[in-house]
Amino acid sequence: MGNIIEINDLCVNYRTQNQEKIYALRNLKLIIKKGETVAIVGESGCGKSTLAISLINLLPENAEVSGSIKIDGKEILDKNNKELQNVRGEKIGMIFQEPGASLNPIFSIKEQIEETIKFHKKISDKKILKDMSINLLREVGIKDAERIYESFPHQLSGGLQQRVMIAIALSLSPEILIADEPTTSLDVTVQAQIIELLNKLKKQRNLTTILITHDLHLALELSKRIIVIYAGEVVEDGYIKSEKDAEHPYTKALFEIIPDVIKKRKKFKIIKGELPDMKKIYERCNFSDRCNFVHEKCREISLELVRADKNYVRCLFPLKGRKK
Amino acid sequence: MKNYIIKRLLLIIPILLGITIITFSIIHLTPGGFTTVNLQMDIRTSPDSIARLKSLYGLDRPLHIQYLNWLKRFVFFDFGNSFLDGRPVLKKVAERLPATLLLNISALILEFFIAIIIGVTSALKRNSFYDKSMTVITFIGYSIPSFWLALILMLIFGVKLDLLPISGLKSVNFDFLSSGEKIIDILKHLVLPVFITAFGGLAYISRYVKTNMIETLSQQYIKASYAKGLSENIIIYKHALKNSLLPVITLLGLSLPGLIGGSFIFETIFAWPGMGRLAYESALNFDYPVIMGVVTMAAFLTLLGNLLADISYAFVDPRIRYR
Amino acid sequence: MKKMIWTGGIILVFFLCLAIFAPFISSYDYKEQNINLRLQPPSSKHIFGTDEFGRDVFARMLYGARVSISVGFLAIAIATLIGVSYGAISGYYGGLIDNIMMRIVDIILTIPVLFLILMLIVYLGPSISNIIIIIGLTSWTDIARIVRAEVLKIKNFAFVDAAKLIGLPKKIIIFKYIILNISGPILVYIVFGISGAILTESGLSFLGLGVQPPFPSWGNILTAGKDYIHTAWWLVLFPGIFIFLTVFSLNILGEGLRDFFNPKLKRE
Repeated sequence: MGNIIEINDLCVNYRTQNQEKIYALRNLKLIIKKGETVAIVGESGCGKSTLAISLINLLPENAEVSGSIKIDGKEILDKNNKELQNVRGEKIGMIFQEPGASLNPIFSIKEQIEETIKFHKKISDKKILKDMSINLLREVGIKDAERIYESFPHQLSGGLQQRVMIAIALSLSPEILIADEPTTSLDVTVQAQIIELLNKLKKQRNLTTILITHDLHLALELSKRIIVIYAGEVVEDGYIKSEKDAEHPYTKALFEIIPDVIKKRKKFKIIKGELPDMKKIYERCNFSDRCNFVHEKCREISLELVRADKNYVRCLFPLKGRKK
Repeated sequence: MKNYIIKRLLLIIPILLGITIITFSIIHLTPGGFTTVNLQMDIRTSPDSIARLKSLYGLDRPLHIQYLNWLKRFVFFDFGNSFLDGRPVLKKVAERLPATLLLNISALILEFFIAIIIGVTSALKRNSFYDKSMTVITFIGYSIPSFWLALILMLIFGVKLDLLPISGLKSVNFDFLSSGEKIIDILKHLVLPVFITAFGGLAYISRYVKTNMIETLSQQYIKASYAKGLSENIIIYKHALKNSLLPVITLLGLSLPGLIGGSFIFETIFAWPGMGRLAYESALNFDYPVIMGVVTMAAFLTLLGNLLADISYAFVDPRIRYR
Repeated sequence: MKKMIWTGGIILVFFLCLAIFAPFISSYDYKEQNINLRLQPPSSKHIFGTDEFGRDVFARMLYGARVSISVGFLAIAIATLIGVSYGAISGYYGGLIDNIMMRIVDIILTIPVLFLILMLIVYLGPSISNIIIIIGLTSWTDIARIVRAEVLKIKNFAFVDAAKLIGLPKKIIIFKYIILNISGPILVYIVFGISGAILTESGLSFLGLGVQPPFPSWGNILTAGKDYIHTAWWLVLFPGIFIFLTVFSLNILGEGLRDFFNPKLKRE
């Protein structure tokens, strides 16, 4: 299978009003194969949402980008708005956190599904549009699709709203689906349903799926390949099923903070400390200040992403393999 | 929705009562008044004749009785007759209302039309030279004394260039014009007053539209629309514009109060035969029935306008329509 | 934003200085008539010309600045005082009292304010103090609403109850926090209010109901001048420009302050 997404040396920084720079993504490299499912995991502020919107080149005006993002071998970053319209929606569908805010409150669901199809496929026959829309709504597991089709966003529950967003994202049959924190604002039971739906859809449609989340537990539910991002860099990339597979101390720490019902840990664990100052670039391991396994050398040189045991890890002293 | 409208209509009653009580108290409790001003100057009037006149108009009775009497007649839409010329108040107001509505509605349409364009374009080109110059221009309109601007423009366009008429609603020879010429004549008379009224209101509305538009453009559904691959035109002119213009309807309702009775300075400059001037003249002459009539009717129209604005808001916003 | 505050502030201070130092800036007396010098155009002796009584227009403008600006400031001082107490009482007591007080505000808002002012001035007489009081009495509704909304918000915060537990009277707490929280919006309101009051006074003057001669106000200088508009343009031009510049400076100052106190704009 070929590569559908190739990201090379991607740097994104945001200019603040005081003319400072926030380095959100730092020389990021990432390759995703066609049909593959990956989960990108990291805590808030680490740059994972920046990565998501970079993929459709929808960064805000105060962002500076360098590097390369190729989708099917074609560069995304130098496309103009018009060319991007053929990528957004057609090649890549995207859903966001807070589905309620992603739907325009004053247009009906009908309008919001159909406008995409109308604009891209130049279909104007009302009957065809309606059939397509209803089928999409059914496909995302909405039973009374006819009623939902006529309703307005505020009349739907959060779970239904997210299903509608997924239907819209899939309306042009994209090859890639990016889900940016799709379940964060939803109830736990609804979360499970949405993940189940995504699981079903990616198989049925052979979608390349990118899940972006702060919740490692959720990532494991959907994806075998886990990419952990810390301070704008990939720190671990590999097939991870459980805590045992973690090779980077940060990944291990992420596992430790998953509330575990079965083991009934006595108290919630947290990762001490916070992200380093994103306005600065350090010549050292960015995680060193919070790492339980830190060594003097960690604070002296910056690191590359290299293979440890099975996974690629940005660490001088990975938990597995390459040990002295 | 139906219940809401009925509730709102019923709410108009206490507000109207309050307004009439306040106005009534102001004109009757303050020193001076109709009989003193109009009669005491005249040497022939004796205290006796003043008393007779007072009793003729019912001004000698206790205040609450006077008010109740007024109210009783008001229920049957009888506002009484003018003290000055004895003609029915309702008739006097009806004569003046069309001119006021013509001027103010034209000005309001122009004002909102231009302000929305300025607001939207400034929001799209935020912090550009265009945005900043629009802010300055609209602020000049907001800060310039309208009567002064009127004087200057009358001098330039009316007197020096002789392009536009400077006073009244119609020319002297109006009755001899063909119907086409009549319309043109009225339009010509409208140009200056409408322009000056609209110019003053631009700043407030365009600023409001601009803030709304900027706020809307930062919403997630706009980002989601881009992610759907829609064109910039659809996103801005369908999604963003419609959402940011909704609250403007409320603003339209709120800009009504000053229109009907508050434009007397303006109507005085342009010798415009409207309600504002009627109000002004009646206040100067202590013509109580006319004052009460004008205030009550202006307030009623304002309340009605507000209600209409709220209903149309509910009508265009599905979040309220389907509650 | 900062540019607006600075520009507005500097122009405003300039006019304040004109008003305060009027006797030092012009050696002419604003009342002194000289029929031989009627309607003289601007010259080196009378830089703004003379009026129909031969009075120096520049001197009258300087003293007019005192009248016009103090009408604006004092009227809004009254309005602020009424508005803050009205809003605070309404919000603090809540319930029926609040309901009645707010309906009264609704009623006042429905009467055309200018007409209300007009009626009161016609009946009470157009003395300077009456004008100040009347404009003050009719301009407090906006601020009352702002203050009420803020009191309602703060009233139920936990820190108010906490302060009560340690023995501080609730009223003092609320008042202190209101002042801290809404001094920004109040200041913005005051600045816009003053500009509105100056415009209102000049409009009233235009109808002959503002400050009465021989006291000069920018409004009545302009009004007296309008009869000579074809021959003596300076009588209309200068007062208009002075009113405009003062109101403009206040408005951009107010706009700048509004942005300054707007937390949404700060975050960007």
